[in-house]
Amino acid sequence: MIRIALNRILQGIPVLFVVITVTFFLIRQAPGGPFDAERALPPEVIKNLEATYRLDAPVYQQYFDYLGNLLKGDFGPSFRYPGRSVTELIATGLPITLELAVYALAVALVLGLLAGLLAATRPRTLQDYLPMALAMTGICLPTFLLGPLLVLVFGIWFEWLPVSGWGYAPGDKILPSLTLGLAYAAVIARLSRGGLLEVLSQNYIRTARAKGLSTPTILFRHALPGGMAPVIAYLGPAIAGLLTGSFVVETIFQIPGLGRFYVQAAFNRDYTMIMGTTILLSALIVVLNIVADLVSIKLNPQLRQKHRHE
Amino acid sequence: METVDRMKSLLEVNNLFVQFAGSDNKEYAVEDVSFEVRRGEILGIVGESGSGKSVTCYSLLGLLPVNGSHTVNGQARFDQSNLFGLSDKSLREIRGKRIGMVFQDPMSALNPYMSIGDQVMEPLLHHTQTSKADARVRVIQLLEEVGIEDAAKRIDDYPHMFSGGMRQRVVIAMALIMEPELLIADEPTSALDVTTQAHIIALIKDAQSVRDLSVIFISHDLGVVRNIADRVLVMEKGQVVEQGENWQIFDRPAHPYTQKLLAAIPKTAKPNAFQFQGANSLDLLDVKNLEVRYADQLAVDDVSFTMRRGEVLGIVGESGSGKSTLSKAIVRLTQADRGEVLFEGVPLLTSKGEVLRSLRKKVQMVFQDPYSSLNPRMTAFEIIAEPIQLHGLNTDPKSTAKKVVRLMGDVGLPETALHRYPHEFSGGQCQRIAIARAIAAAPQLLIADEPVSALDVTVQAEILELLLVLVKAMNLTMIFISHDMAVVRYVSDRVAVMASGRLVELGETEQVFSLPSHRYTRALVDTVKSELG
Repeated sequence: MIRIALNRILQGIPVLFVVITVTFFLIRQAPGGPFDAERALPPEVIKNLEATYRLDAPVYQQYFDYLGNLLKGDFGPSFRYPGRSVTELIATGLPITLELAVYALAVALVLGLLAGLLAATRPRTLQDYLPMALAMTGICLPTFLLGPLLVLVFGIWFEWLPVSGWGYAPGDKILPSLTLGLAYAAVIARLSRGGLLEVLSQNYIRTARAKGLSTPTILFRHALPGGMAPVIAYLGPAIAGLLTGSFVVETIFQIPGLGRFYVQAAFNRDYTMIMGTTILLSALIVVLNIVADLVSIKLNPQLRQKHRHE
Repeated sequence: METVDRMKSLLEVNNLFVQFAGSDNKEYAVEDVSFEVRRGEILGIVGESGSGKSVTCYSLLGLLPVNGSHTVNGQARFDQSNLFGLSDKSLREIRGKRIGMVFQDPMSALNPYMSIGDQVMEPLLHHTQTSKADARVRVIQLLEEVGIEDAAKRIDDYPHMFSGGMRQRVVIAMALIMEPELLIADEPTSALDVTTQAHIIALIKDAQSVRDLSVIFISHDLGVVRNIADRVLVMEKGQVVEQGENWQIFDRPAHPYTQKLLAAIPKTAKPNAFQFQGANSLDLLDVKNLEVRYADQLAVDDVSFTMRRGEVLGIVGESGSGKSTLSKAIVRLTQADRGEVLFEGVPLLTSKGEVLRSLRKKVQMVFQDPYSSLNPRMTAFEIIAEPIQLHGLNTDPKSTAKKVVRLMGDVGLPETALHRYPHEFSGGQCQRIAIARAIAAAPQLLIADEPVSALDVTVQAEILELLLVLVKAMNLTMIFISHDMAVVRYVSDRVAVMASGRLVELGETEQVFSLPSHRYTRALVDTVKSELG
């Protein structure tokens, strides 16, 4: 197991390297720079600033410097928040973003699995059509539409829940978590329904029925492990999507997470900040996909044995 | 208290009707079926696919697919209980506890996510208050009994770590663990090799006599049923056409369908009309020291043989013996690691470009599963026309069309079927299309890899006949691969026996059949002879 993990991590390193390189040169191709403002600064000030941040050096020089610093674990200073390093800024935003992602994941799993299970146990009945129709709607609705909709209904019409903030008022974490999690719940519902239906048509389910087992036993003990395989494979990319998707939600609900920094950094051409958040997210996506792979292997006896022999 | 009356029936089924909703025709899947199973007897149910033999048994236990809606009518009494009057819960008490089941495909009948021990003990834990530790002891005992060696060590292994035969033993242990009174075995040996098949039948027989079980043994294989059953039920199109004692059915079949079934089993040597005549003809194929490696195993190990033009060579062997790999290596669907194949003196394995293309045209294949080897998105016409166009035999569409129609006629398909898709044909008809496609390029060598093993026995007889007629008419040379010794005997002039990648025996068919020298060949021949009675 450890060998597979190491192997996958080694495969992830070139991916990260490509991401770093492409991002580095792309953002420098974007018009404007970190010190352009509405009111232009005097040229000598800009020159000084550029010298301070070594932006006057040739681009390839900056690239190698950046890579060198990165190896030392230094993401560099932020161009927009003078005196604060990118690492510091990430450290303030990341926990909030992670918390939001965890709640959203919980929403996605609980609602998604429930809907999938309901649908798969009685296919082609109302119990199937209703949750699946809802799921289809959930997939089609983008978060930037769903968020304001939820705010309108639960925040403004019913006045049940706060409409912005994170940890300021009781219940203000509910709407953002729902907004972010619902689309993933929808995908999980469809995946778990498909996975379960596939497994339920297998011969070994008939064997289980022939043993005289009750329907819940058959469902939970015999069908679930195999039926969940597509869901587990999807979790890696899903969590990555939750993290990036949280940027939109954070903006809608005014949450001081990583997303706000990321979006602002992009607007401000805060090169180091863009690089830092991009690298962090890509690393997370790579790692989470590896974790999902490993869990899939762990849960499937056949794959487990195959990898043991490798 | 209760004395077992030997003649008293354990299961009595009267006027059973099963109908599936949603099927276009209003036909019954099972129509007016009545039979009984006495205590301690083995009842064989034979019939071709779609005859309703499995549906009959599944409907008794409420095991028909949950999602497809169906209606079941009639009476079924098991011991004292009316099976169709029971609540779901009471039925589950009988299913798995008093009636055990063994299924056809041991590869898919076990849950791949659970260890075999957990699966075998599950009924015990579910139906009784046995502790897990006690259940484990019982499972190990039972696994030993059904022939799993080192059961104590293997109990926590997963299904994929066992061979097909071993898995079927596990399934049997699972069915026996509650000491049921009735065992229903649905094609329990059909997915297994001949020698494994013999072991499983012996195992079921033993279990039956030790426990005084009643057994329903469902099979399409008349030879197997003849070997095991006390009484036999013959089913056709959902109806019982004949039932009686074993000897009545097999020695004095009364119903025409039973007679037809029995007549379809190849029992004889190759008919004289089709015997190979060209003793002096030239060598067509020369295989020299062929070797194919998979990972670090030799799938084909130093195989050499020659074939003369117009000859039929049968290759028999169990699954994994390398017979399919050998044929694939000859046509270069698999890369050979060593050796040489000469086709009309031209080295086949090293040819390139135009030479290879012309060789490919001369060697064609027919595969086992007629459904999956035809492209479902192509019509019969397109499938058969493709090799003609591909090999540039006919550039003019009109003459291509003419040729396809002629080929359809050659393989016994109506011209009206020309523009239908594979799923609109039966298995036998699909195989006819596959044969038409293979002969469309006017090949010299035809390689048929288990061409009849997926087919019913009456259809099998027709396809064998067709192949023999074509071989003679077109002066084809044929390699005929099969696990079934009786079929190979009927078709082949010479027979090659493969085991673990090696060619262990090669000779004139009748000679090999009467004096088999290799251990495996003897086992094969014995099975055939015992089934012929």
